[in-house]
Amino acid sequence: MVARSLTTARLTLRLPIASDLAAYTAFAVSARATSVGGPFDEAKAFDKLAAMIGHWELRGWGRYVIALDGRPIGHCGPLDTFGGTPEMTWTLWDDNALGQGLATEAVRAVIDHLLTDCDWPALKVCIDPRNANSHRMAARVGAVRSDEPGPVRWPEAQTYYLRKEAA
Amino acid sequence: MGHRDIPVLETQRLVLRGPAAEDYPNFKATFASYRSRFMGGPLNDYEAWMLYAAEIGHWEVRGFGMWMIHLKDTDETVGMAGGWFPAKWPEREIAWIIWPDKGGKGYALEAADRVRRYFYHDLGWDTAVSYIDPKNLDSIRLAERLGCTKDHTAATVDGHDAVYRHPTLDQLRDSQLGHGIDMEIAHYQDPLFKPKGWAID
Repeated sequence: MVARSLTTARLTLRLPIASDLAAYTAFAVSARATSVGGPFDEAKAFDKLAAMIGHWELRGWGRYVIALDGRPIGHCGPLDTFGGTPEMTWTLWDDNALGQGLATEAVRAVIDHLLTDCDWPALKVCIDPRNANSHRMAARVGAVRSDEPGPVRWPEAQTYYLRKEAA
Repeated sequence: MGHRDIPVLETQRLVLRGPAAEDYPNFKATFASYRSRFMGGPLNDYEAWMLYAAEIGHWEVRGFGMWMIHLKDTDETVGMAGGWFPAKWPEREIAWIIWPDKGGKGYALEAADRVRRYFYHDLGWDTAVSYIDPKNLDSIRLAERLGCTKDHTAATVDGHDAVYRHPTLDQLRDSQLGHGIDMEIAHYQDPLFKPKGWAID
């Protein structure tokens, strides 16, 4: 059973909620969203956050919002729109949260929970080829590059796999 | 109110419940079809799944949303109806969609009437609109059967849609309009009654 919240030394990972909309929208409409298929408009941001919430209901698991001192600063966690190997995703919404290892702390906690506590066999990672920060993150958390093409919605993405034995 | 607390509404023939994982195939089939052309479709697999997840998340964000319409007799789903108010929507909307092979039985009318009662009586809405593509004649007919009138002055979603304003609670209460809607729904509910004229929702 996937936990509905996780805590790390500095962070709380919890389900996305309505009050995350403002912080998420600010990120989604900004240039920082370029690496995840954006920038998006405000309407699309609403749809995407609503879908993040609904994913939990449909699958029983989904992406966590990363909270630092009660403030939402990003999201990370598994995404599955079709069945098959779930995708591990991470995004920091807040520029001020960059460069302190916060995303790594959150991503490690989620990967550890899914592969070890929940015994999931693997997670897929899809990263924009130009998103150097995310490629470094993939390497840091033990993801292995794959030749598999990206998903239909995003064929140019570079794929990686995280597997239980590597965790 | 969260998505796990979506109220269950009933009518004589229908049960309206929150969208669930097992109902997704019917939603996906409809949004992959030409039927969805006036609701932003047809959608690919990814878009359809994300929209379905967003239908559920809408409940969490707004405290209301779209219900899945089930037939009481068989529990099968025939479509969705409810409230829709995503970012950039000018006003709260009452929306509906019926699966392509379930039209013509008055389900959308019965469901939309029920959710409108809920919004007026339980949530205290004083008005509501439906944004309809001017080419979507079935939905325009349904809006008119629900007593809506075209509101030429209200803001539209994107300039390509028409705004149909729902009658207020006062306009529906003990009025010829309200009784007429009740009577049409009752006629659909009565298997001996064969509706004359349109049956196209």
